[in-house]
Amino acid sequence: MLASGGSRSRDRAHYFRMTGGMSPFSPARSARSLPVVALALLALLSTGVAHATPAELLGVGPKGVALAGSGTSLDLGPGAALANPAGLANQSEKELTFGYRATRFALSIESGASELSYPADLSSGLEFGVAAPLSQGFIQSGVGLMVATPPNFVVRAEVPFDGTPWFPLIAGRAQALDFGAGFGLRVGPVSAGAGLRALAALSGSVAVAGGTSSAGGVGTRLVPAWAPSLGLRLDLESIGRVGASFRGVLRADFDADVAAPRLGPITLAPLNVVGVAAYEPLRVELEFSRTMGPLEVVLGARYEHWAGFDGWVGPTIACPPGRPSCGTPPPASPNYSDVFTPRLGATYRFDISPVMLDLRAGYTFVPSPVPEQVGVKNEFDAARHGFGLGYSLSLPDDLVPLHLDAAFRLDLLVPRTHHKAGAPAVSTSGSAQTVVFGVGVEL
Amino acid sequence: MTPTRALGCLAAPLLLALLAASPLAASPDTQRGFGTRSGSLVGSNGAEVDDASAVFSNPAGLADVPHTLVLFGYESHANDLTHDGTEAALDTIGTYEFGLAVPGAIRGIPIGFGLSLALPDGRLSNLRQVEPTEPYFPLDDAVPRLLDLGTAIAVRPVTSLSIGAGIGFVSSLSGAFRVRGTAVAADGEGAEYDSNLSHAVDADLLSSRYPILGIGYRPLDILSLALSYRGAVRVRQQIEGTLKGDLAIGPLLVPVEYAFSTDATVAYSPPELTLFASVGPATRLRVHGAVAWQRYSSYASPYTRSTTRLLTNLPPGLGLPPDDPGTPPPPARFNDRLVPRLGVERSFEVAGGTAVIARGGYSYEQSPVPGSQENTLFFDMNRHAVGLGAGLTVRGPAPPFAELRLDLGLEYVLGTARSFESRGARGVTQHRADGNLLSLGATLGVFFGDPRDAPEEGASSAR
Repeated sequence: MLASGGSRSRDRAHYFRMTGGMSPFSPARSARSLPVVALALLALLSTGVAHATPAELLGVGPKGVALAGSGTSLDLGPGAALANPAGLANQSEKELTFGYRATRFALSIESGASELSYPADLSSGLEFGVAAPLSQGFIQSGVGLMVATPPNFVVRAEVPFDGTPWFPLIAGRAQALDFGAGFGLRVGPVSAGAGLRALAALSGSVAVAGGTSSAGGVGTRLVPAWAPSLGLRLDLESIGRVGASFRGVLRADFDADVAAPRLGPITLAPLNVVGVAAYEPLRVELEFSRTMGPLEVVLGARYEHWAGFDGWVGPTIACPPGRPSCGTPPPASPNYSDVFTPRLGATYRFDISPVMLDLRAGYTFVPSPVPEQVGVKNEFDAARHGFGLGYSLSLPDDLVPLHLDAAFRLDLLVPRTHHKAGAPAVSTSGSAQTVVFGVGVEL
Repeated sequence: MTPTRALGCLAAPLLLALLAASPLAASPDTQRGFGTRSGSLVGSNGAEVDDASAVFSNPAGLADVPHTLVLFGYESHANDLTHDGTEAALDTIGTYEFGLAVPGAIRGIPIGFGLSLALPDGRLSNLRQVEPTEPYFPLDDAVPRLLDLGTAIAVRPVTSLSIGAGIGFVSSLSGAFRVRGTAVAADGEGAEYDSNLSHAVDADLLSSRYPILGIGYRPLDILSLALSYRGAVRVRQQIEGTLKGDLAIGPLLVPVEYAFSTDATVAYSPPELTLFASVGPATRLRVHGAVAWQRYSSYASPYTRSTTRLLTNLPPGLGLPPDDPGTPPPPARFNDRLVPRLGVERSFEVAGGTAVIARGGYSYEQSPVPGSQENTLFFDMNRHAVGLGAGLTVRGPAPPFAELRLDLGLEYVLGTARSFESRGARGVTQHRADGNLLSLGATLGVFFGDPRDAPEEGASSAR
């Protein structure tokens, strides 16, 4: 039961092309419409959808990506502003980092005899961070910020019509700005930190054809969407390090009030074009790491509260006060579930004088919060195995205090089948490959 | 009188004025530089700037930042602008400022990084599209409602020369929404809410970047020169919408498709090249001068180009609107201008490591808006800007603080009434712009770090 929402092209001209207004894939029809299903899949347009941030999906910087999302108990430099601000207290040197990340998705959808590739865009981003110690001694403190931004946009809001197949939590989560700033304080073995994560949310008003043939005024307000982040870290010397972090819901909405369109003497209801451009659920992380000679191992888990998510779009017609119901029903709840994500990683250090080489590897299993799509909706998602590899090459300080990092991560989606009532089942599978390069310099 | 009480007497009137800011409106050019010190000196101090404000005025100054700096500030921008005697509907803007500067060195070569952020009214932007028939203050309406976000890095390869480069960010909107389903025509009794519609959205908040470059040169201990360039800032808003499905008018059900688009440059700040000079003719006295060339001739028309299209089988005679392919907006035809700026700083040592600084500045800004316009209603005045301010610097108060700086300031812009004519569909009409602007601000800079990190003295002798 796949449905095409018409055009989903980034080519804006498509929006003015006459295509079938209503979905040709009504439930009653879809069982006998495999060729049409194939066409509908082909009609899926272009890009990935953007619904959260790459750091949450893949890890922070080259180190976090190589260790499959680890970092809550580790020294990440400026990346601690995203992973655990308590880590900024351990910043001993001023540090600047620059990097580039690219993620390629290979996602496929199969229904009956048709198997088609989901046309997700390459996701890429420039990364930049700075961290500095503010005080040393008995009370250590540090500050840092980290930004990872797609080259051309801050955030992309792409929500298709119900029934259109898409992968909101896989391809979409790699298409938004990451911004984090934090402060860390350490007394003895205990570090604590606080910070902010930010996105941009849009609210606006659109007046369409206010009684004449011309489109009326448009006003927009961009407001920052903030989420607090808190962190703790305990350094137990030879026993190891424990890190814990909390981040509130990070949610960027779009909300456009379209004044009642008037087609000459005909007036329509005001439109309520609302939805969610980017969403990261409440997140709690717990991680333990221990160094044993040249080997450092890290074991952690993440909890994400997806059950509180209320859906990607709101009702297109908002009922006026005093009227209990309207012709447009409210969208059904997505029924997402909370998830626990375990992970582990290891770093082995080679002292190749005068340079140091760290080799890193990690693994994580990420369950899917999205239920099986048995109805009209086709919000596809699947559990995935994430494998990371990477290295860091540190040059001697008396030459240039520089380290070069690279990482590769492969996410393999567990094949999943969605059984539709009265329609062919739909199966999804695929992978995502991520590469990250970074350079850090101590000032 | 103790130094603290003396400072209190000096700061109290400014703080009272800040708290009592009247409900007026803002201007981009009242933000002459980032932070209160720059505002008090009306943006003349680019040759001697050693904090996070260097990101926007002259990135090369980041190489002179003495210690790691965290900066917080608040500014209130207000106006009483009038068009043809009518008060302009521009609100007061309160801007929250944040800055971070991290100095360092690689192999002994000083390097500095900086980030500055100003949030007007706590938002990233608050913009609207305007019509050519609407009175519009092009320099005061949009740009003050934009986020200022910039980051830069600087290096000082030799003692007398520093070079900096950075990027400023603004965000544009390009998006479309589509609505489908069955729309019910209004009947006066709420039938339109029986519509069964759904929507899809495809929108990008695009990141638009502009370059910021700066070079600083200090040929003598008492003389600093700088040249900075900032690229054009352009915010574009493109919105498309379609409504496609069935239209129910009583028992009649007809297919309909309605589409519209709007496209406008809703905020624009021109490219700017500024030459700065600062001299120290006497101990603790600094005189700053600047001349800025602003290329307003490239000012993009702020007006909207709109299109509409309606496809339906409804019978003619119902008064349905015809399709509108849109007409190009009238051009702005602004003029380039030179803006001279002058500032003076005098510091007074009140105790060991503590100094009070008095500041003042003046600039004259000739309006870039033409006095004879066609099909536009751009209101603007020539402006005299006067800045006043006071600063307190405390060096080495207690670890981990290396230095604290508190700056308070105001900037008053006196507009000289200006008349212009506009030729439009109603013939030639005469108009008059008038008004004043007031900005008040406070900035706290907290420097952290070991005094051994500080570069050699002389970066900011007035302090």
